[in-house]
Formats: sequence, C-alpha cells, structure tokens
Amino acid sequence: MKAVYRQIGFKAGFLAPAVGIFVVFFIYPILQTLHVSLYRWGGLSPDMDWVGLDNFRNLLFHDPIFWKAVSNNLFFLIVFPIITLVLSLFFASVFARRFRGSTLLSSVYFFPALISWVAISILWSFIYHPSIGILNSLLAGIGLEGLARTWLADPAVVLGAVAAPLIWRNVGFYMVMFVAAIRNIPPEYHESALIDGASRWTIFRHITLPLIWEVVSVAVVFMVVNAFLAFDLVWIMTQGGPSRHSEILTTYFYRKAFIEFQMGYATAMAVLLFIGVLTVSLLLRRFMQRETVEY
Amino acid sequence: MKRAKNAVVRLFLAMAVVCLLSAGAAAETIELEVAVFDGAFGTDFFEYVAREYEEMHPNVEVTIQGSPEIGIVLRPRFLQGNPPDVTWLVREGITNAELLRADLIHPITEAMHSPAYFQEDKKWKETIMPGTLRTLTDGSDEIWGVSLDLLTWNMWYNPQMFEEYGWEPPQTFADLMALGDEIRQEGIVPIALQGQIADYNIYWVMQFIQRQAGMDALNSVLNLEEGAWLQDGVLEAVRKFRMLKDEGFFQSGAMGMDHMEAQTQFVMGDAAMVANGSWMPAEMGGIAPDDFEMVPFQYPKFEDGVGDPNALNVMDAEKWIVPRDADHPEQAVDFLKFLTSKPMAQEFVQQKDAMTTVVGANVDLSEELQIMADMVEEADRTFTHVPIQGWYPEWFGTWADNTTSLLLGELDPEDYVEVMERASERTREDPNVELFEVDF
Amino acid sequence: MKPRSVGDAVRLLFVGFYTLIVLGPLVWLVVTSFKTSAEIYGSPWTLPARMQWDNYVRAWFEANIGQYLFNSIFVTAVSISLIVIIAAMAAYVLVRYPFRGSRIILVAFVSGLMVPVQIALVPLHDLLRTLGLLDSYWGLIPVYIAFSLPFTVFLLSGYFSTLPRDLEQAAIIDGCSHAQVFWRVMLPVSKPAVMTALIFNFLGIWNEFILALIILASDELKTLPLGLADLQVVMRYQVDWGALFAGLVIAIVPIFIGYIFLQEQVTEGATMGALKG
Repeated sequence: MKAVYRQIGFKAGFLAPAVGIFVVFFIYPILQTLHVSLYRWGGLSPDMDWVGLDNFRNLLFHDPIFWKAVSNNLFFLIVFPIITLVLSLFFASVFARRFRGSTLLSSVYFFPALISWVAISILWSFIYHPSIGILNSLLAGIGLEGLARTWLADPAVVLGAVAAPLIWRNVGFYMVMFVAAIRNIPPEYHESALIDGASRWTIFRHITLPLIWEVVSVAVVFMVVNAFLAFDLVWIMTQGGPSRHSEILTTYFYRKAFIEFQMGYATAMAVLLFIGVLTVSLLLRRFMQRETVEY
Repeated sequence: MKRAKNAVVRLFLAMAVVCLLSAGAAAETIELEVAVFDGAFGTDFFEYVAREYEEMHPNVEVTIQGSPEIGIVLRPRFLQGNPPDVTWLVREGITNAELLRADLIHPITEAMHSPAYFQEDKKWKETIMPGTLRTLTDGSDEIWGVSLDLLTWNMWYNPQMFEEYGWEPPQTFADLMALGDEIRQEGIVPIALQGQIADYNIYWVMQFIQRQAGMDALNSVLNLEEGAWLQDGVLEAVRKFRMLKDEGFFQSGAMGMDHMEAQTQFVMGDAAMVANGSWMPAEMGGIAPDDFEMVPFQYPKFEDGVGDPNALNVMDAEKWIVPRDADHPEQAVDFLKFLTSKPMAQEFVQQKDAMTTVVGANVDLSEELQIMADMVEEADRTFTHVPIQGWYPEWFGTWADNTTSLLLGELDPEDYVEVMERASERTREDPNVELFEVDF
Repeated sequence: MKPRSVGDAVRLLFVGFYTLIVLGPLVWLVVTSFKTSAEIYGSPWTLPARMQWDNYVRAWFEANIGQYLFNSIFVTAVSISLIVIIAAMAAYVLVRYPFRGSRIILVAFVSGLMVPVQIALVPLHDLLRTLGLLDSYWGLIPVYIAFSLPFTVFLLSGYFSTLPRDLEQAAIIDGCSHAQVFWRVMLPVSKPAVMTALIFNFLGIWNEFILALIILASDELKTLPLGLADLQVVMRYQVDWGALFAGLVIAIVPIFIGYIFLQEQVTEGATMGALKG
C-alpha cells in the first residue's frame, strides 16, 4: 500500500514541472489561438469582434498573397529537402570511409549549422548585395557576368537565393548525422557486396540507403518543418519582398499581426499553417516508414 | 541605564524621522522616461534637451531610451499598460495611429493653449507651424501630438560633378529626360534609387500625381475616392515615373538597395542625383567624403501638367506623444512643451542640420538647408503621406507592393492604376475601416 | 586520399568545391571585418590597407555585443539545464511507470513537435502580460522550456525505452527509492541521449529570435540574435559596414571556440539524434 502511495507521489512529482509548464506556456496559448482566430482584434485594445469563420474564409478565398506564400513555402518544401538530402547523402557516403582530413573537413562542413540564423542572413545579404557583395563580382571574375542579378530583389531568382543559405547551413549537419548512421552499419554488409563486385553506387542504393532509412526519414521531416518556418532567414533578408515574391506563411503572419495589426486574421493563418505542417509531416512519415529495413 | 535606553530610543526616533522626511523629499523626484527613435538624428540631441530640462526642473530626472526599432521595443510595454512617459515612434512596431485608434494617447490640447516656454506672450500652439498639428487626428479638435523636425522631400544633385560636365539642374521634366541622356553617356547613373523600402517609392508617385494632375487629384486618390485612379493625369503621372526606369535612370541593382546604400552611391560620385529629403546631410554626414557637396532642388515642373510646381511634400518624422498610461502625464506634456520651445528648436537646427516646425527657429541655416527652407516658404500648398499610412496600413502596403512591381517591370502603368483603383475600392467598402479625409 | 579512379577524382573535386563554398563566405566575413566602409564599398575583393581593429571596438561598445553575448550565454545555459532535467523526469515516469492516461500525455508532448512557434505568439504574449512576466527572463525561460519539451521528451523517452529494465531492478533491490534510481542510475546511463538533448536545445535556444523579440524589450536583457538584428539596423543608418561585419564575427567566435573544444561531443550528440531518433 505504502509503496503505491509513494509511487503516486513520485510520479506526480516528476511529472509536475514538465506538465505544468507545458500546459501553461504551450497548451493554453495554443487553445487561445484557436479562440482568437474567430475574432477580429487589433491587439492593442481589449475589444474583439466575433467574426466566426470569416477570417478563414477570407484567407482561403480572397487572399492572393496567402496563396503566394503557400506556393513559396511549397517551393522551399521541395527544393530544400531534395538538394540538402542529395548533397548530404553524397558527402556522407564519401566521408563515411575515413580518409586523411575527413574529420577536419566534416567539422568544417558542420560548422555553419551552429551559427545563428540572424548572422547567416546578414552575411548572405551582403554576399548577394548588388554593389558590395562577392557573388556578382565573382561571377564577373570568371566570365559569367551575364548571370549577375540583383539576387534579393529580382522576382525570378529571389526564392532560389533565399534557399541557398538554408541549404548551405544544413548540409554539413545532416551529413554528420548520416555518416554516423552509415558507420553504424556492420561492415560485413559492405564488404560482402564489394567482394561480389558491386559498384559503389549499387552498394549505396541497395544496401547503405535502406539501412539508414530510418535516420533519413527523421532528417527529411526536420527539413520539411524547417522549410515551413524559416522566419528569421526570410524576414531579415527580404521581409518577404520584393513585392511579396519571397513571402512565406510565417513572414506573412508576422506582417499581418505586428505591422497591419490584424491579430485575428493572422492567428487564423497560423492555424492553417499548423494544419499544413502537421499534414505534410504525417504524410511524409507514413510514406517513408514503409521503406524501413531492420537489421 | 534607563537614561542610556532613553537616549537610544530618542536617537532611533530621530533617525526614523529623518528617513521619513528624506523619503518624502525623494518621493518628490519625478522620473520621466522618454523613448525615441534612434535614426538619422541619433539620441545625443535629446540627451542634451534632457539635461537642460533637468536644470530647469531639479526635481525631475529624465532618461532617454533610443532604438532604431523603438516601436517594436515598446510594444510590450504599451500592451502591459506600462508605457514610457513620452514617445517618438518612427517606423514599425506600434504606431501613433494605432494608439490613437485604441484611445491610448493623452491629449495635449489643454497645454497647447497655455503659454509657451521662453515666449510667455504666445500660446504653445501658436509657436508651431499650423499644418503640422493636423496630421495626427481622430476627426475632433483635440491635439494629440506635436512634432519637432520638419522634413521636406526633394531632390539633390552633385554640384561639383555638374560643374565638371557643364550640366544644369533640371527645371522641367523634359529637361530631366534630356539631362538623363547626357549623364548616361558619361557612364554615370542619373538618379540613385532605393528599392528595398517599398513605401519610399510611393512618395515619387505622389509627387508626380500632384505635378501632373493637380493637388485635387492627389487628394481624391488619398481619400480613396471612386474613380480617383482613373483620372487622366494620374495615369500619365505613373507613366512618367515608369519612364525613368525604362530610360535607364536608375542604377542596376537599385531594387536590392536600401536608401542608405543608394545615397552612398550618390555621395561616392557614382550617381548624379538622388531623391531624398532635408535630412540627407544629417544622415550622410558620416559616410560622405569631407569635400563632398550636395545641393537640394525642387522636383521638376511638368509643363503639360496642371499641378503646382512649388508644392512640397512636407512632414515630420513622426509626432511626439504622451501615452495615456504614462506615469507622469502632466510633466511629460510639459517636457514636450520644452522640447519644442524656440531655443531648443534652434539648437536642434544647429546640431542636426535639419529644419524644425517651430516658428522662427529656422535661422542660421546651412546653405543647403536654407534652400529647402525657402522651398517651404514658396510652397503655397503642402501635402504629406504620414496620416494615410497610419489610417490605412493595409492599403498603403498594397500601394507599396504595386509600386515595387511597377519598378520591377512586372506591372505596367495601365494595370497599376486599375489595380490601385480596385484596392481603394476594397478599403473604402471595408466596414471595419474608418475613413478620413485629407484636403491638402 | 589519392583518387583511385575517375569516380574518386570527381568526388574529390566536389568535396574541394564544396569546401570552398562553406569556407568562402566565412573567410570573406573575417577579412571584410577589418576594412573601412569606404574600402568595403570600393571592392569586395581587396584586402584591407590596414587592419581596422576599430571596427571591433565600435561593435563591442556602441552595439553592446558584449552584453548580448553574456545574456545569451546565461539564458541558454539556464534553459537547457532546466529543460533536460524536467524533460528527463517526465520522460522517465511516462516510459517506465505507465498509468492510465500516460500514453496520452506522451503523445501530447510529442505532437507539440509539429507546432510552429507562430501559432502561439499572440496569446503567449498576452499571457505573459497578464502574469507580469514580459520583458523578463522569468517569462522567457519558461517559454523556452515549454517549447523545447516536445523534442526533448520525445528524444529521452525514446532512449529510455531502449534501456533494459534490470538496471532499475538492481537498484531497487539495493534499496533505492524511485527518485534515486532516476538520479543515480537512469541519468548517468543515458549520457549520450542527454548530451544530444543538451546540444540540440543549445542550438535551438542560442539562435532563437522571434520569441525573444516579442518578449524582451530592455536593452540589458537582449540576447545575441536580437542584438545582431539591432546592429544591422543601427550600422545601416551609420553606413558602418565594417562594424557590422565585426559584430558578426564577434557573434560567431564564441561558437567557433566552443566548437573546437567540444567538437567530439557536438558531433556525437548530433549523431545520437540520428541513431536513436
């Protein structure tokens, strides 16, 4: 009897801080968000006007910028994970076999992942800068002057330009993760395949990849969520410009909430954003889980 | 023993009384918190005013808090009902218009009718340029804020460069186009444009509309009137602006530069002209080479337009206000009265090489400043964009975006006016938007 | 590594090329931080005529980078310590002492992973305002903890569930209370997972921008990301690009130094996430 009581006390005591903080600072605000999204609210005065589902209706049917933001997010969603995945898997496969300098190089590749987004955004803004930046003068230097652009203000390339630092920062990070996963594979698998005369690519495609699939799928989900958010990067580099060409849901949300003071409308967008992230993540996990191979 | 104990008790009581008295005296000290935008004018001038005020009022302590993002920084405090005593909110985060809408500003009307500092024979209201008090309004006669700086929007040219090449500042639009050709032939950029801060380019459009179609047309546009954008002159004005881009007046990469960077092109001698305002010397002082000269000039006259060529876009960076929930509103209002007193305003003019709204304080101006002060004199009519931005933030944002699209070549002038007409309609018909009227 | 085939040579080429891409911007950043604004405007490629250490002085003092750095270190250290402890305690109970409803609680925590910060920004701010916790670390840190719980609970509960039960049984037989089992057995054994949790949370909080932006207002409290953003705006107005670059370098240097010393743990931690995730 006494043991059971002690257990309850212990369990409650151990759970309380986490549950307490979580409920107060996480669950409660989120529920409030659902509440606020049904109102029109300027955020400053306590007056809130009930509008029911109007905010959602306006967002989905009357707001071209919302859909522009969605399509921009989709661009990131597709481009960023694919390129990052390809690059990080490629480098992981190269680095998994230790060679001289591989540890040093992987540290170098990894390093950008530690730098604050704000710093990276500022740095890359300067790289892209029309007069001060190195990218355009670099292109001119190697004779590709025709490719020079006003990277962050040209609607045709701005999305790609913003995606570049996103990729730059993350390739090393995921590469290290994959290297560890690859090294975890018992060497016999590779060795016997090599003995059988399989090519590097075949080995990778049919042995390595399936065996690290679990890790890869987790990584992809992270990448996808990252691609949805990316607020700091876009906000500091372009604020969603020029003319909303690089607007994504999180920057549009911020603009609506804190620059145009439409809190209700903005929170409705946040709700939709959440639904989007959730749906995509769940679909991805479902899709990727089928491929897992146990060993 | 008893005598000693008595002595101790009396000593104790004495100390207690002294403490209480000094606490009482200390309670008399009023701490004023003044929060300002830290931009072209910095915070040093305001520190100076704070010290001067403290000397006049020994029981007041003034602290200046400055930030380039002051609106953003102060937002939580306003929300918490704990704002500073005096604020000067420039750019985003939280705006005077929003505060006024939420009834969070302490009116200064009463103080406006009291004697001004250092000019007892005049009321405070009479010492400020009248037009400038109008722009922060809820439609009533209450006065909600006062401005210190007076800014004009005009163009600047590089006199040394112009002399070297034998150019003259353009008087008419035709002059401007011809001049542009000549400048381009020398491999120089005619006008340095900034593209990053989208709303700054709206002011070009406003200028051009006024010059081409007249002040009434501009008023109708700003009042969101039906058909305002479809008036003849308006389309022509937009066409002329777009012509500047199409004829290569702006530097490549303009859309990726902010105003500081574009202006740097100008002071570094890579561009011949720039459109900016009277705060340019203050803003570029640090980066411009020591021997660099710049001379202001009025936007060119549109010979085929009906507008007033002398009309000027005149504004203040933003109004100084006293928040309703300030700890010491009366003292705060008094501080504002002091800040905008003639001697302080004159100091501002000298220290910051900028103009002021305070009547009679624009003296001993530098050459450039004098030219702009003369422009203000010569202008029969003036207009400003400031209240519009606060009243219709969404519409203003749309206008900014469309102007960027125009400059990017994505939107043609014909489509531009159509889109803006529709945007005006949307805002006009929105039941949640309160409509105001301007009559410049 | 000597290329043994064309394939290898191509791989080597890629590696070399990408190394340039990673290092290039960083090297450029450091070099440019020593130039004057005029030199920077002149050309991105030239080396500074003289090393403008002045840039760093301005960044440190005028922009208060030192203060922001310290603030970030403080906030991050406190937050990640608390997060890991609190999350570990909860994860332990949920995994090892399941009861009716414990599964729901666990799912609730983990589904928090899908929730973007934005969704709670406005009400969160309002909540803190009501509690009087705005513009204070007493508001910021609990928020950081709350938002880090999903991942950390997920990670640790996953790890705990793979540990054999005999560990605890042995300790209980030895007379330990449940709490003691946790502190003396479970945690030490879970060092890899704990390291991973610490590292991931460190990265998340060290770089955190928008929550800090909304919650903090006083200059003395600002964290490094806020400070850098401020620096960008201030230096832009003063056209002091040199100081801006210097500020960026100052912001990156501590991480760089920390990384050199803790490199192994960091990469190990990252990989732990991979293997146990």
